Amino acid sequence: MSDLHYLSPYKRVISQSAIRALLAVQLLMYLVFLPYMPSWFLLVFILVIFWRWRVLRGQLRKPPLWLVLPVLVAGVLGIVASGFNRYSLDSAVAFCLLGYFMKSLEVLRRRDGVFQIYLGLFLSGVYLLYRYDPLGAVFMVLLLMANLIALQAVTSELHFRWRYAVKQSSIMLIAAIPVMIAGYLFFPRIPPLWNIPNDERGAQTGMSDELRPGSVSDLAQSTEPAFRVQFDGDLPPRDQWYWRGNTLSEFDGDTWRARYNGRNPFAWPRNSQLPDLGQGDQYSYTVVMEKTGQRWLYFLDWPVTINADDARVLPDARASRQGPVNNVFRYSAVSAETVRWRDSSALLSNNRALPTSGNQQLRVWAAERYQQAESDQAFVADLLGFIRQQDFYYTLRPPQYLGSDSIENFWLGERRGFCEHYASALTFIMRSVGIPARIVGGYLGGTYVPAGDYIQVRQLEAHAWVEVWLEGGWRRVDPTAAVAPGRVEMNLDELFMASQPDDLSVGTRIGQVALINRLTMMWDSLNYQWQVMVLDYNNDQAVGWFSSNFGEFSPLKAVLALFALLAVLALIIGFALGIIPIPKVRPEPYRSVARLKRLYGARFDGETLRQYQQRLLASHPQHHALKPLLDLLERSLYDPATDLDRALLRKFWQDLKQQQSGRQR
Amino acid sequence: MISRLRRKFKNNMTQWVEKRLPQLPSVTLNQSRIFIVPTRQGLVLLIVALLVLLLAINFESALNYALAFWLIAMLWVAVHLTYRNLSGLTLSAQAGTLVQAGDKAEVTLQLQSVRATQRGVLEFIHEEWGSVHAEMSAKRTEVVLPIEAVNRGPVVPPRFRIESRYPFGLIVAWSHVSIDARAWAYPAPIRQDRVSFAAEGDEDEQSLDDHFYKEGSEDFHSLRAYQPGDPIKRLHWPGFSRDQLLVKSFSDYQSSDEFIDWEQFPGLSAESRLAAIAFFCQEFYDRGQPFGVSMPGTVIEPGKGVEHLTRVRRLLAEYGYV
Repeated sequence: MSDLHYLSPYKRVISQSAIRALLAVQLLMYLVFLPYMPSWFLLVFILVIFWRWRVLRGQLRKPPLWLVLPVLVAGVLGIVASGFNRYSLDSAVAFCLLGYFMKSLEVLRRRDGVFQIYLGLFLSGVYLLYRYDPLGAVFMVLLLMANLIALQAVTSELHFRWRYAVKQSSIMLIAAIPVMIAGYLFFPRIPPLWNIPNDERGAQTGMSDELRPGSVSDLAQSTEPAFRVQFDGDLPPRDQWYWRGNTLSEFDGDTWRARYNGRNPFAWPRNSQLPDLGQGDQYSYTVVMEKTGQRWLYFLDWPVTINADDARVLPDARASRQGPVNNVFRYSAVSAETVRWRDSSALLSNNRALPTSGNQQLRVWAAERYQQAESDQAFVADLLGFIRQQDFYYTLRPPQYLGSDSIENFWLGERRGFCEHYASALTFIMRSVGIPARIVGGYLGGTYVPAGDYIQVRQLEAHAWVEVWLEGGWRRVDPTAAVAPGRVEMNLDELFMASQPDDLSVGTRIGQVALINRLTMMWDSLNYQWQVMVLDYNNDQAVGWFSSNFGEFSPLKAVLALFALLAVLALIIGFALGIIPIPKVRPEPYRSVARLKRLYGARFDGETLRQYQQRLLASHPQHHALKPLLDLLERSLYDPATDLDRALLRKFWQDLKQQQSGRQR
Repeated sequence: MISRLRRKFKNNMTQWVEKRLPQLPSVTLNQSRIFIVPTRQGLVLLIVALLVLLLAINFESALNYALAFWLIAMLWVAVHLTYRNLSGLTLSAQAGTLVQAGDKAEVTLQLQSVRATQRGVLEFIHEEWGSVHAEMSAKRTEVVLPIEAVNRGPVVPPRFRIESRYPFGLIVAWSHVSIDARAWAYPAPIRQDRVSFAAEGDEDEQSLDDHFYKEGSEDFHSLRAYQPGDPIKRLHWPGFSRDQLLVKSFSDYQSSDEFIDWEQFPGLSAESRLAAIAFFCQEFYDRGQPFGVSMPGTVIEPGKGVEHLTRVRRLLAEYGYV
């Protein structure tokens, strides 16, 4: 094959197999990003497939501008219309994907094909911002492999072979692993070079800092993990697994909001102080949180200390971080069963506030009820009793309570609701009679995973409960325990599977099948190990190991070590690929013959071993051992029946050595 | 100024390459002959890796650290893979073609390696022929380089570049090879006046021995044994009566001029004489007449057919070189 003019490789036209490979990679990319992009991207993808199919059929040209431009404009408008209108990570990724798909319309030459593949490699990195569990890593490796095969196809013109491409890509991936691991272990974890606004980091998940009717029950449809807790020592009793997150103390008639939310996490009245440690058990534990995009952390009641980057416990028994939790985040904490609260009137008055209007009947009802109660404590007990006695019903699918009298409609009307309805109503009633109360958003329960010795808490366990200021301290009051006593002991799906399975989603119900449940637990345990060992890794351990072996860590040493590693690996790769031939050890008697040749010079053409022997004996008369040695070799070479006597051979060689050295002396 | 410096640098570079990689009949590529650098495409991959690293740092994304270093390490592995494509490859000369000067000659090189490694596609690059591709996945293969034969004589491939970008185009490994392979070009035929010896010498001295016979029909020449296919008219009937199947053989006379002689083109340069000889060879060959060639130091006895012509042409091509 010959081109008359040398064409730069980048300008060469790519082959049909390359076009097919590029299309396959795009399909893969489309599939992995499917959950994170608007569904109408399918149309763009179909356009791409259609055009590339035309190219494969021989229409080797780029689409005309009148087609590209409207599609591009429609795509941009579509992204904006799909709700990606702010400057955020999601919209950036959506634009990037649109470009990725549109770009392939005009890929005819190698340069464009390579560009598309490189964009694909970068998008594989972007994908890791969305998924970083073991499965996500596996997908990333698949994407990498597919892109490498496509790169081979694009750079090989007409000579593309599947087997060759797969083999070379595998060698490439596998041989690069040691350097990858070394880089991962030793590269310092630098703080972000510039500040990325939270919006650009992807959506917030899990509990939010707002509670409106329905927000917790939506969350409780998801079996995604929220966090995992490992205790040093004994687990607390099952009915104490209240994982508190944010406290919600501002109410506008419809929604409960955190007073100290993401915008001002540390703002706090100056004279308020942390509670003192009381008597009772203490638990110390480690939490590994999934990405939430929020700033607060989860705790058992009541947080005492926290050990994490830029995080601290705040006076409302809440811990917050300065920055949002955008990755797997690990912290250790200590909680105490009891604490001594400091009275802080400014804080308490916030927890009595209510909007001036709305739910008037309920206010009247509460005032009457409070009159009859002997004390605040008795009033709380009375309300819980009321829930037990009346026909309140605990359900994931309550009717909608709308308008300014929504709490009243629930409490005095339908009486069907989920934990947020009960918590919201109880808090409202408390505040309406002047008792400080607040809602706590968090999780209740969890699943102990023996394989990893940790408690897994899913979004399904999302819960809201009430804290009431009684006798100079905050007391936890959980109205859900009154309406559904089983909920405190059981997870939501276990509870509902027995009584009202229709409330649960199909996926949740399938998850309750014993075998599948076991498998998900194993998978979860793997995930936990992955989070602790891989994702939460910082290079302290590796640097520590390095300094204990090679002295203090310095950039120069790191570079030297890197070169040493590269050299060793290059040798291994060289041997494995056959670049460096491995000298073969020849068997006897050929080895001895070759050795003689080295010592005394080669045989002439056509010279037999016997003639060689005679010539050597004539030229080296002192070397008597040559005669029996060569006799032995000759016999062993030409008489296959005799075995070579290795002891004898060794002896003759020793003799010869002595005779040689004797002559030199 | 700059262009002069550049020219000087290029000259120095060429001289250095000539000295480092001399012309040999067979060349085995090894670490002292192979040059290797990343391509533009490879450097862009490095940029992609750095962007992924930036992603890792700014989004505190642990797995992206791994991906970034994986990409960088791949570039490093690609150096080995590409180097392997050329390493241990032996190029040796095969017989080249014999063409007329001005035509394209073809030089065949044999590529051999000890182990049957998949070396992908190797490119042989020179301005002369652009780019010739050869895929190598077995122990040996051949590559044909087309070279224009400008002058009569040996056609030696220029120092060319053998290059491999396989498997991913990230790295380019190359060597400059000058190989002692040759094709031959015989002179392009040019008509010249051909002086006949007969005119010079005595006509009587021209004996019949100088004639040789061309099979024909003019004069009876001899009897020979019958062969199937001989026309029945020519059967020698007196012989047939003696139980001998003989055929009368006739012949045409031919002058001794068909010996094309170097001296028949007096006053011309050697190259012109060779061109003239080539012309008359072609003419006699086309007419189907036997011819011989006599040149200083060599005489080719008269003969005919393609093989004879080729023999003469090779002689013409090699004259003065072998």
